Amino acid sequence: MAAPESGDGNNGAARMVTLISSDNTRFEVEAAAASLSQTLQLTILDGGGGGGDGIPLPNVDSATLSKVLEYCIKHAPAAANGGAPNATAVDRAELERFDNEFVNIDQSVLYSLIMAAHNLEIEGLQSLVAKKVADMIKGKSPMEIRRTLGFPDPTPEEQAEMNAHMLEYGWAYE
Amino acid sequence: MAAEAIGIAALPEDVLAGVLGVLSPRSLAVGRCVCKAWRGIVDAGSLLPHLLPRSVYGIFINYIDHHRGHLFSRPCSKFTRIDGLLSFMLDDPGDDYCTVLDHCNGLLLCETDTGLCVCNPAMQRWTQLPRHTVAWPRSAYIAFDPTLSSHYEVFLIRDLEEPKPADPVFLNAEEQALYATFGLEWLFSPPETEGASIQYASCRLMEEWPPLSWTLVVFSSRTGQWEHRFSLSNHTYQVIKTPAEGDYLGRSMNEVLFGEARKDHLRIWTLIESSGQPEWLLKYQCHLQPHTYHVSTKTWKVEEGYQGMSSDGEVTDTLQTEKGSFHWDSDNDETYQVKARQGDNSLMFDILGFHRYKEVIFLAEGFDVMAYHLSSSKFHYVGYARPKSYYLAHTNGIYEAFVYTPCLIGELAEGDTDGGSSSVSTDDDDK
Repeated sequence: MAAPESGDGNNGAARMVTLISSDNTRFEVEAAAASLSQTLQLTILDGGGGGGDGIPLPNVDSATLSKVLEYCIKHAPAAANGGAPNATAVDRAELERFDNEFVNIDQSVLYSLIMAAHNLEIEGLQSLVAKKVADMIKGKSPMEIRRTLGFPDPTPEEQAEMNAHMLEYGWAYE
Repeated sequence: MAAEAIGIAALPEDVLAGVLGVLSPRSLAVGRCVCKAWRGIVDAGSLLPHLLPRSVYGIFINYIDHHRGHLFSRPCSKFTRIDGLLSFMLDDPGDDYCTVLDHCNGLLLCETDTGLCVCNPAMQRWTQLPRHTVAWPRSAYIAFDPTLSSHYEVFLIRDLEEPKPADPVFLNAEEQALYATFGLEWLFSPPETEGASIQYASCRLMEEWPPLSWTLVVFSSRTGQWEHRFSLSNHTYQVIKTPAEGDYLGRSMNEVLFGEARKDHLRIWTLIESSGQPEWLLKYQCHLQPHTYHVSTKTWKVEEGYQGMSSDGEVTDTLQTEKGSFHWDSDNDETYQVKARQGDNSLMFDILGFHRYKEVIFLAEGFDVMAYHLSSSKFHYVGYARPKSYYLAHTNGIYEAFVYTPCLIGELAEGDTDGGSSSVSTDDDDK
């Protein structure tokens, strides 16, 4: 795949790779962005994913992958700067705003993202989505957590068990 | 991953563990109750590694005319064993004077030859409090709530004149826990109508009650200093009369309880607040008649270091290395023998304390300690709590007990301990 701007070919900063989702959609993305995934990084360093080959991702559907790549593209420049020590406050605020916006999504999408971030080993995304779930849990009772996260109603036995365990950490409810 | 929506329940365990791993201890404790799978993850991953008090490990007991308190606890492997001798703190754990004055959420307040110490036996940390100027007879209490702060406070409260030679105690051992829960306002909030609702609260009556002025001498680990705290800016406070005299005020689960054992008659009240007015509600009463009691093969033991002090000071005798521990409160009833009780009917029970997390009260009949399950009326024989080192005398007995819930929070929070300029710092301690 030709790199549009730098005439640098496969070794340039703007080298592109192709990722193929489970439903066979092809995504072309800068290698730097895709390399936020620890899983993909090695393949890309080996020169994989270029040209017509593409890297198949049988565990990630296209909707999720496009979301993942949205995150990667946004975070790639900062990551390239080695965690952006010289990033300005404005840049950081912008990333934060993006992150907050980014996880403002349906739960099912969120869980797909969690799985994808886990499978692709994208550290920043993993902690971002984990934090989102944590925020959904925070300050709620077990019953409210169940409702929020779409658990089925507990059976009487489960309810009794919940009550018993709540006593064990009584202080958490004080 | 297929395109259809997935729920959080569909996440693999390791992924979910990563998600739960970012929760605060408080949320983890709540999350643990959500469902079995979550509980498994929290427990298996040691995400909540018993950092915070959640179980009763044993009971610290002070004995009449005995130089030190002892931990009475279930035998357990040396890997999970807590140094109840406090040998990490005492030069000579066998002989040194050391009385447990109070316990709160895993921290012990001790009086030793060198003065007041706060220690966390589970973490083997301790700190010596600076000296204070208090010259009057006082009782000392500790307040610590690790879910709110890593700091603790130690209160000195004046013992008022008392006609009886028995040790006057104004605030009962666990009353300070009320501070932690409800704040000083709760104990000392202005009465609804002046005079009328001021009634005597404490278990042991004192002559000059209520005192006209009220000063608390408080050591805060935040500042590392003693300070005088005038808690009663308006010199009024609310006093809650106990439902009976004597005996035991404590907490169990989320309740404030008061227990009274008169011979074999047990009564337990719970404190409720209706329309702002605290009231005691009789929650439980029965005649304790342990015709049968459940006995496990492993009873609790008093931890002592005497015979086992080897030359290098290592404690060797009391190490129990059996696998598993005696969970008298577990569901494994089959491990128990049920024994019929022999003999006399003149039973005299004393309350040692309430189980913090179960509907269980610890009772002593002499040195025999039992756990009584309020809901099932079952007795479990816990063990014999007489230390071997306790010389025989007719005055022998258990003086005071503190149900110990270990807290594995690392550092004892300390202020500028070398600050030196304690606001109240000269001598009075001649113990």
